[in-house]
Amino acid sequence: MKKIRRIFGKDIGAALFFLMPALILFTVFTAIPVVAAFFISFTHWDLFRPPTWVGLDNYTRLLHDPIFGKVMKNTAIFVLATVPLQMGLGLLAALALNRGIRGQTFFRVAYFLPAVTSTIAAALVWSWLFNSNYGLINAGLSMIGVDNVPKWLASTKWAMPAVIIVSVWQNVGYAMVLFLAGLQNIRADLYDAAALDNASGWSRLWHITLPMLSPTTFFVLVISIIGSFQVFELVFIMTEAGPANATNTLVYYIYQNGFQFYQMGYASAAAMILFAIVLLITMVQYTTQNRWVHYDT
Amino acid sequence: MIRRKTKKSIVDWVLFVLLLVGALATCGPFAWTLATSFKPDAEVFTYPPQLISSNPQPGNYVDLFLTLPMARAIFNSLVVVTSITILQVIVCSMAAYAFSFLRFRGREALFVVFLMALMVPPQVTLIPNFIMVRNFGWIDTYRGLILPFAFSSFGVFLLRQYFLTIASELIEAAKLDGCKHWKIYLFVVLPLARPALGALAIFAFVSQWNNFLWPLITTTSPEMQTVVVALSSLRGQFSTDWPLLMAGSIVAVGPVLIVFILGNRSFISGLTAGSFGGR
Amino acid sequence: MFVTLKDVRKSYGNLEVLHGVNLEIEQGEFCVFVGPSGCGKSTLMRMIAGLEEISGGEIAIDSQVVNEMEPAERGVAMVFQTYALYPHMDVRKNMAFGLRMTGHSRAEIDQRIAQAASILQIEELLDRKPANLSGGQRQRVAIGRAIVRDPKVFLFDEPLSNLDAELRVTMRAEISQLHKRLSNTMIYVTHDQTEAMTLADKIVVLRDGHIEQTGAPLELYDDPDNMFVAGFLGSPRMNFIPAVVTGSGARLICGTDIDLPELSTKLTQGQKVFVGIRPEDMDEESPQAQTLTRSVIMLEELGGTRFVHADGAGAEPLLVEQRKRSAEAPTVTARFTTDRMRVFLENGARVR
Ligand SMILES: Nc1ncnc2c1ncn2[C@@H]1O[C@H](COP(=O)(O)OP(=O)(O)OP(=O)(O)O)[C@@H](O)[C@H]1O
Ligand SMILES: [Mg+2]
Repeated sequence: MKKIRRIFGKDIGAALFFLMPALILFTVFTAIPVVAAFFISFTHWDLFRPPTWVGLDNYTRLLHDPIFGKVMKNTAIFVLATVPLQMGLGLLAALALNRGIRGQTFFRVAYFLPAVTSTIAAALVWSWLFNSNYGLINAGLSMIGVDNVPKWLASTKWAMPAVIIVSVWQNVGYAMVLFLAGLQNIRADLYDAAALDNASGWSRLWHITLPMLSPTTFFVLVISIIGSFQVFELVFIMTEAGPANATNTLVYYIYQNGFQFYQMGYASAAAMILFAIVLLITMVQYTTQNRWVHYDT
Repeated sequence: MIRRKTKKSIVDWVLFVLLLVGALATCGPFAWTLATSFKPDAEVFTYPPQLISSNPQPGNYVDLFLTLPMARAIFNSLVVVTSITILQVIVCSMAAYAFSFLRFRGREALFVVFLMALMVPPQVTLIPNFIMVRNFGWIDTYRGLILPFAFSSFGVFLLRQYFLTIASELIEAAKLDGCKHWKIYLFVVLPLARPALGALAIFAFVSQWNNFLWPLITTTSPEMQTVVVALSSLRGQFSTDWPLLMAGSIVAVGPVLIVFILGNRSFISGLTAGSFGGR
Repeated sequence: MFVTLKDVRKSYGNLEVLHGVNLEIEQGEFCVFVGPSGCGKSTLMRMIAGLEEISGGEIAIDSQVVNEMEPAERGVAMVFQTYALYPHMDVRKNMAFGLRMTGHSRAEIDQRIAQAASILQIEELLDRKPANLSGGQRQRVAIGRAIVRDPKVFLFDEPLSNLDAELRVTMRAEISQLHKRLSNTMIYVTHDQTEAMTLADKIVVLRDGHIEQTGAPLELYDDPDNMFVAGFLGSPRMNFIPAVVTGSGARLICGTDIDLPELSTKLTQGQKVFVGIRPEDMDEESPQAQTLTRSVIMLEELGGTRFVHADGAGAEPLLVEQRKRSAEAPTVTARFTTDRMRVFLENGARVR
């Protein structure tokens, strides 16, 4: 016993006790599945017959699958559109609120409500708003004189923008709350110093606020990108990936192949691609952050 | 000086109005949903659309609870989400205790492993977990809905961040007072960490209430569906009965909004603590 | 001996911070660890408490080796610098907590709290939370929490350093009275030599993880083993005048020849030494007094006494305490006798 404590540290007994539940759950539901997903991606498995090992077949199939190509393109468009929009709007709202405008708490809650709303419910509500015949949006558009109102979810051109709008609507508050907390972390004495230097509002924003906010921006960027890559529920309810796969995205494709077509191996291969992308983004951002992030001491 | 002040107040007014417009955009859909949910079917397709119905009907809500299994779904969600929340608070706080106050070999390495799990998209583990839970025979069981979420790396991270702010002298004083670790955990650390535990609980409650994909694939019978899954199957059954779907949305969103509005302070502080501690 | 430390060592990784400490403390003794910041006082105390593992050697309390014992089993109670009161419990619960954890009866807990509260005069604070107490009150409660456990050994780690100067003096007196009243063994860590001198039965001077000297306050003050102890105790500190041994005495750095006290060790001619004289011993009326006249750099008038800083002739300025008022003068004449003189070798060791 004494020897065990010498080797593993004096609290090893207590540590095992306190970590046991976490370790068991983590191992069973995270660690083993991650490894398993990797192996499953090298098999054909429909769950009715035992899996067969096929090597890289799923991956080569993905490469040549035109739908998958479209899925990746859609996902990229979705990420490139939603991330800047929700971050930009979130930052603007946070900057405005941080001026000490009345009703800060109200706005904070109001902007954050969509973020705590079930995405399924939100998608349903927006499907109704985007309804091309009776929806509020097209009603509003015709009222202001737009003749050729888009058919939104039924149109290959407008379905993706609709999904993007809803996603931004849902995530703006999240970005705003994080930016607001970041702004409130900036030490007031920096502004006092700038006021003494007679810096104008814009130059304070440019030379103090934005650089000091960069760790927050970095964090919001990482989670926004990763979150956007995982869009699923909006597509599931609003368009079911249609029309003609115009809104099919990576996670929806994983779901489709795994749980509609029962191609567990193929779906796992697509999931591994998602995993690789997320890891890559995280790594790129962590290695390049020093170039543009200013940490306060 | 005076000119600068008036200029500032004009800017503030403009911003205030812009923020109000933004709030209308974020909250408007909720109002529209509520309004639609009370409309009789005929009124839904009138032009121009009316916000307040001339003849509001609670019938959709009656239908949801009496002829459709919404009550059962709410019950399921409450059971599942409450269990997950309680389990996460217990499991994560225990792990966070070990990472904050115990000295043992491999502590940092294990913590890093837990942190790296935050980078694994849930869709990666979805398929193996589904296969495993199916083999356990846990499809359509509360176990299958609860246990995969009983642990959360985020929770460990959030709580550890808070535990580290507790003065180590307090832990030492408790040791001298004769506490073994489980007593320190129970009588000193947990009471002191109530704000963080509350933040985690609210966070877990909200995110699990809204969890969709896992309950979707691991429930097959309507009796075991959670609210959000039940709502999505309403969509399949009544794809054009918008008032009913809106009423369903209100029912699915209501409890979370109440929890959020009551606890928004600790929810947001938990969120931001989780992010700023992390860097 | 009640508390015994035998060759106690502590390392963090490869860094050894305590290099073999030997110490004996008698029952009922008030023992003060004193030394500069980072010398290992706290570490040593925490090892006695059981909060730090013992890397080498042996610690015994009441003739029981406690190396492998849990803190609570050692019969020690500790008062922390930051008080470490449980913020979520009121004062009564804070004091009761340790007793509850070790399974004392309700009645006994109440009785002990009442007794401790009356000793410390904190009866009216019992239902308050620590956040609603002043620093001094918190300190009392922290001491009360230690008292109720009736420990074999009280441990205090710089308990007064968070208090303001005035309160520190009051609390110091109270701790001293408390010790007389309870007569438990107490170990007290401080880096304040005044606290050490006023409180201790026994002072342990530590430096860089070594004990420099152990003894009663006046023993150390009058008969220090080395320059470090001589300089550390006493405020303002002892003057150390560089000198060279001559045939009959020593020549100070300023060129003045003086007689040295009788020494059992022979010093060789030409050897460099330091002559140590405390400022308060520099103004003797005795006919045997030797004199040293230097020009004045600065004068600190304190009313009852005054300190004259005089030119050190290349070494540190010389400090002379004068208790009799006299007119200000451009020079000061220090008068000192050989019996108040301490001689140290260049390496700091005392020559007796
Ligand atoms: N956990 C640790 N890891 C590494 N070194 C440590 C650790 N704790 C203390 N030390 C080192 O041990 C030495 C003694 O520390 P200790 O806290 O006992 O000093 P101290 O005499 O109490 O000083 P102070 O008067 O500042 O409280 C110091 O040099 C310190 O840097
Ligand atoms: Mg110390």
